[in-house]
Amino acid sequence: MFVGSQHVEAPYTSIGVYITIFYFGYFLILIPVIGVLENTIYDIYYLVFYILYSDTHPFRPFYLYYLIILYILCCIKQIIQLLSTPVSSLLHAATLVIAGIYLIIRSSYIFEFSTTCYIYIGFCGGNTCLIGSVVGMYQNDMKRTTYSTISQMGYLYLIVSLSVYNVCIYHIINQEFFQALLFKFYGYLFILIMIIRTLDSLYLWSILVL
Amino acid sequence: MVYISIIIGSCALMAIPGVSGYYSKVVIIEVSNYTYDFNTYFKYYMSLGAAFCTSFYITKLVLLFF
Repeated sequence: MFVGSQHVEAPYTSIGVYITIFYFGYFLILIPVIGVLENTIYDIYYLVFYILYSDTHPFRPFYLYYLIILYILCCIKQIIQLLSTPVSSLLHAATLVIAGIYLIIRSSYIFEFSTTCYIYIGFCGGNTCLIGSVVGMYQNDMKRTTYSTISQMGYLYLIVSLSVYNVCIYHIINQEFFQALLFKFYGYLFILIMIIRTLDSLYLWSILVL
Repeated sequence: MVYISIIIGSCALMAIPGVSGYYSKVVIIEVSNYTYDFNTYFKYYMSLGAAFCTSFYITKLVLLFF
């Protein structure tokens, strides 16, 4: 009774004001600023990387490992940014998701100098293809079952880490075509049966029909 | 039409022999198996497990659709 009935005193009012400012500033200012900063910093980093390694005989400084790790982060960031919307996955299967892996293949003559970076890529790729497919097993929404894209991207990174680039490009082309086919006809099915979105209702529906 | 297309796409995703997905995915798994390096022993099992899970959930989806 005593605690609840007292007036709010000096430190707590200011704490409340600060927390309110932080709460609204986080959504309105901090997140957009961080997004813009990330994009510009990554773009600047692409430029720096290609200026450093634009000649045909790349030198090998001691900080090459850190440079390539940052470059891999740029490439992986492409996937993370672009896979976040499963809505427009038709476009993503064909062109946008491939951007990161395409950058790695184009600059593979730099990557060949550092085997440590290939260990890193291989670890990322293997984990991505495994986790993408395992998560896809447990998705209930039909639209979320396009987690196969993540799995395919994992395969691409895994095969790049073994430095087999022709197989990687071959898999990119195959994967584009059949995923685009799948996504297109999933979309057609969504229009056909708009009511049935989740797999639970599909279970129920099949029981009723049978 | 929709049925045939989704069946073909799922077969390609499952890497059933004769469809385009087979010829690249099998090469990936074989290369990850035959490359002897100190860090590639886990990639073979990872790619195999991913292929298994993918085919599992695609089969489930197709069976539930039609």
